[in-house]
Amino acid sequence: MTLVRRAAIFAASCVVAAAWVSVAHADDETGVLVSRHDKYASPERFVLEFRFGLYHPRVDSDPSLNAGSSPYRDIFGDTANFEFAVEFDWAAYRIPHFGTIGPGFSAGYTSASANAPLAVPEPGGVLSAENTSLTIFPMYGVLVLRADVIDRELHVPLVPYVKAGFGWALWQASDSAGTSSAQNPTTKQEVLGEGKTFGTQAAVGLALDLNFLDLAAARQFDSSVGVNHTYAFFEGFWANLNGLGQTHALYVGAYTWAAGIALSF
Amino acid sequence: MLIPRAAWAQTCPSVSISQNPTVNRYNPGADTVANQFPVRAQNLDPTAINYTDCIADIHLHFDLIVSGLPCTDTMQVWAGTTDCTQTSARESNSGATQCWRIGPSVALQQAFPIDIRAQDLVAFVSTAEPPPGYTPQGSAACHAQVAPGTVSVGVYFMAMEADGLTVDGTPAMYSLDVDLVGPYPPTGVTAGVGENLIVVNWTPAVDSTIEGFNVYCQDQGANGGDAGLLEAEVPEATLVCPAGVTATTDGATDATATTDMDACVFVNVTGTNSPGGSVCVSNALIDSYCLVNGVVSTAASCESVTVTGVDAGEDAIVDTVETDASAEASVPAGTAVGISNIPSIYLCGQVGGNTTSSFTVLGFADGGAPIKDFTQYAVGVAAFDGTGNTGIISSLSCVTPAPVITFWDQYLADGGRGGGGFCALEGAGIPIGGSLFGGGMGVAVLAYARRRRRSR
Repeated sequence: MTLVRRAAIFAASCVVAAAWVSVAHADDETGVLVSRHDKYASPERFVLEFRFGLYHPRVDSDPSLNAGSSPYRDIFGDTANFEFAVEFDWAAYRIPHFGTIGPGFSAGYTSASANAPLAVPEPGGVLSAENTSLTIFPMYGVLVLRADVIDRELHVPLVPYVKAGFGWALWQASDSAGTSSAQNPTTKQEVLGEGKTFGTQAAVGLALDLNFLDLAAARQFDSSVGVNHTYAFFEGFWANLNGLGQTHALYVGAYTWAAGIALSF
Repeated sequence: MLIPRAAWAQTCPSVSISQNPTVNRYNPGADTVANQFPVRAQNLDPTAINYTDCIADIHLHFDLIVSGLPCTDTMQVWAGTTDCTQTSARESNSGATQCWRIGPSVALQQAFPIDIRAQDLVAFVSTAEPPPGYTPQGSAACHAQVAPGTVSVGVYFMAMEADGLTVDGTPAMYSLDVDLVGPYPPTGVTAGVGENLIVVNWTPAVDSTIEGFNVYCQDQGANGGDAGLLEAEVPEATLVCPAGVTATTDGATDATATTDMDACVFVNVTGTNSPGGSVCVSNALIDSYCLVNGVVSTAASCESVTVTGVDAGEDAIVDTVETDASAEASVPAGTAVGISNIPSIYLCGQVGGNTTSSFTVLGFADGGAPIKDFTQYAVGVAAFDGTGNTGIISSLSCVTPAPVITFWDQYLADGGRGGGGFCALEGAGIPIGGSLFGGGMGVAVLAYARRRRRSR
């Protein structure tokens, strides 16, 4: 699938979502959709997620790399790295008897590092003491659709959700002397080891509303600090950071998972 | 009968001595009272006396003002780690003497200057029973302290009656810190190589006086041999790989090709070459002193170095120094301390913090030469304290930096075309980045929704 085609599909889905939003908003005039589902609850408009997961950037999937080459694996190996991220969602509109939809933004951090191998290998594969690393700040802006009707109306504390949008990342390749810089063997130009990569982002997840564990504490949490629900969630996501709209880019996306805690308020 | 005024004014019950709040210091060999200092940086306790001050025998210049005259008392100057106005603190054989004379008695005048020598001032900071009377001290006084740490010393200007015991009136007192010993040296110093850099790691001693660490390097030359030029320039202090050690870049028996990481290839204890590994043995730092078990060592180095082991290839990059057991064990026990006086041309890094344990050396300090590949360097680390004393240097590690392959090198070599900076221009054809496209879509959706809401 070409990048243009992917973008077109995504744009279409955005239009559908926008139409859905407008219908939902119209229904809200009946008053059924007041976000204060519980008459004692505080308004609920936002969701803040603290996300943890493993991240293995798909650098080696870049088709422009020489056949059979795997620079990321050669240096950093196959081990995934820890990623931490924060996501802020605005539940802008409530869809009657379904859930909420709205924009969300996330920024994260992950880094891979290893001792650089010697240019002329030592017996036994001894590495140098110099550190080489790739640091990535994955970000995305998405539309988030949370189907909390199961939780709110069927009282089953589960909230499935999907996210789709655009992703981008700032990244930096560095070594013990600072940001890496090396000569491109083809162009003979010095290339600085930092840049940005664009792409798309999609995720599917399931959140467990933890309020059922202690309803009194949950109400207290709401009345004191305004947090309506506390969720534990797990999601799979596809960060296709493969240079959407760019002629050359370092592929820093990942197909992986994240888990964490989300607070709605 | 007329009685001379001086004769009937026996004591000085109302005498009061005060001194200048800012005490200037000067080096009698190079400075004058008109050319005074302190010169040390504010973060290095400029009013304290450190080892360098003591060796230079700086003078502390006091301007005293005395009121309540005339009387027949004389002024005595004492120093001590306790209140020297107490008679017992000044009496020898009291079992608790902690004060000593730092100058001869002088007649009281309304205003007069007096200089105190640093060596007099520090001579007995660790002595339980200093001798009575005043005896000018020499440079040996600078070895008075046996363990790292700051000692607070008071300087007392007192009007003393003829009995030599009774203090009259109000004395003047000036406090300062004395620290004559540098911190304990770091242990386990290892130097690893990178491309035009050296990564130095060490284990800091448990020593609260440590303010930071100096990293010293010496260029041993492209062949890993003796740094003859440097030694010729600065013969009094050199970081060296030991004599008799063969240093090569591609020793035939070293099983390495052209980039030998362990250029300081040693003949091990059995007299054979050490394949793939090395031990660079220790330092010779002249113009330093060290105390071993509280006694000033006459050796040029604090460590009696003998090779007890040789790396075995796997640790080729991390060269270690093996010292004899007594020297190694002496460090945590607090018996091997002292001072290093290493010329600044060898300084290749300085880092603060008493638990810092790593530093990456890119070049010599103060804009000096950068670290170069295929050149051997001897590397050592010494801790410094809050008064500017640099402790004895660690054992040395010798390494030869060599080119490495970073991730970025590998990526570009494999055909990767990304990078160029955060603000690098995108390729032609799609002038607007994907993020702008995405952001625009989001804004459009929200604007549409808000317009609908407003229209109602």
